Amino acid sequence: MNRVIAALLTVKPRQIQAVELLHRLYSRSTPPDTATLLQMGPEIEAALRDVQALSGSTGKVVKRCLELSAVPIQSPPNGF
Amino acid sequence: MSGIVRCADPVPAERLLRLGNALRRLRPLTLGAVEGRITEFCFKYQAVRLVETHFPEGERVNPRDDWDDALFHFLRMVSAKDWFEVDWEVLDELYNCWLNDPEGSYNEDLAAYLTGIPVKVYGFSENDFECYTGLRVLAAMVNEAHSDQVSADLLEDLGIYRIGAVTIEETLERVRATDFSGRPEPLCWLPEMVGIAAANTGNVLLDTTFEWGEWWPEFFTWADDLERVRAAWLEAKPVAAHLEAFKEWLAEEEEVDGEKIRLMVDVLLGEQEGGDEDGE
Repeated sequence: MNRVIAALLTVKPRQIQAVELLHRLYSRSTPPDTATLLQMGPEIEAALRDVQALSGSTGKVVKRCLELSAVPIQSPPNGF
Repeated sequence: MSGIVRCADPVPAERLLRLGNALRRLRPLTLGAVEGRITEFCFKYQAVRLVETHFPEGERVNPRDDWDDALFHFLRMVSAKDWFEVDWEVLDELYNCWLNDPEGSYNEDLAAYLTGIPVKVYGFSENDFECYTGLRVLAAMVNEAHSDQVSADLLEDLGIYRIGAVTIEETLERVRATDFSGRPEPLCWLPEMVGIAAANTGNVLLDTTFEWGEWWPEFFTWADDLERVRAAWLEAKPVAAHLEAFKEWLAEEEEVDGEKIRLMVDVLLGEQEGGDEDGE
């Protein structure tokens, strides 16, 4: 197996705090009122920091993958 | 998904079509989309926090409003209380840029004013110099940093010949020693205008200049500088009004022959009769 694919497959699924938070925010019948928003504020800021860090890390992985030299594979997928 | 479409257990076509219709409404969730949505909530939280912190008894933010509505709601309350002059021109410019380029980063530029104070400052800017030749001449007379604002050709066109013979220090000293209060408006405000041009009034709003591309919104922040800005505005407010009147006076003849600029220079250099500018 390609080393890059093998490495990617070892990455464990990660819970993204922001996704769960967005689900809670959007599943409400009305937008959060000011009191709720103020209460959730620190959680929102933490979720934003988390997703920004993840976005930065993902960007680095993509950038490094794009810099890889192409190598032939032993068994091309069907259709190639 | 593989359980639904396996060949040994055929799914009725009607059910497949329904499933297809549902899938067409779905989009893959990208990290960028998550970040964008959570950022909107974060901006709104910050705007609501500004309102609740500074105007706890004021009109609440409408929960259905977007964050930029909440920010402008807050700034309108600031204006109504006359805490300082909000720089609506900059905010409008950023807002219009955002409307014209929704995919750009202008929303973040505007959102920077959730942290920074969008206060109008009065130091002479490059834009002022482009609009008012008189301000260029004044700044060149009293501020070394602006001494290149006027060329010999411009001074000759204006019929001003003595500036080069007087140093900036001499001009400043003369202005300090002169009583201009007997002069008509706006010449009676020349010491204030000189202070702004020299950036030495001691007032942070009058001595600070806004330049597009060089300004950063966090120059003043809501968290650290609000009281300082409010105190500075109390002092700066009458001077800011004088500055506007002075600009209007200069603008009246921008396309004429520089008569008012010559008058201003003559008064500053003590060459104009009819006043007690010598203070003696």
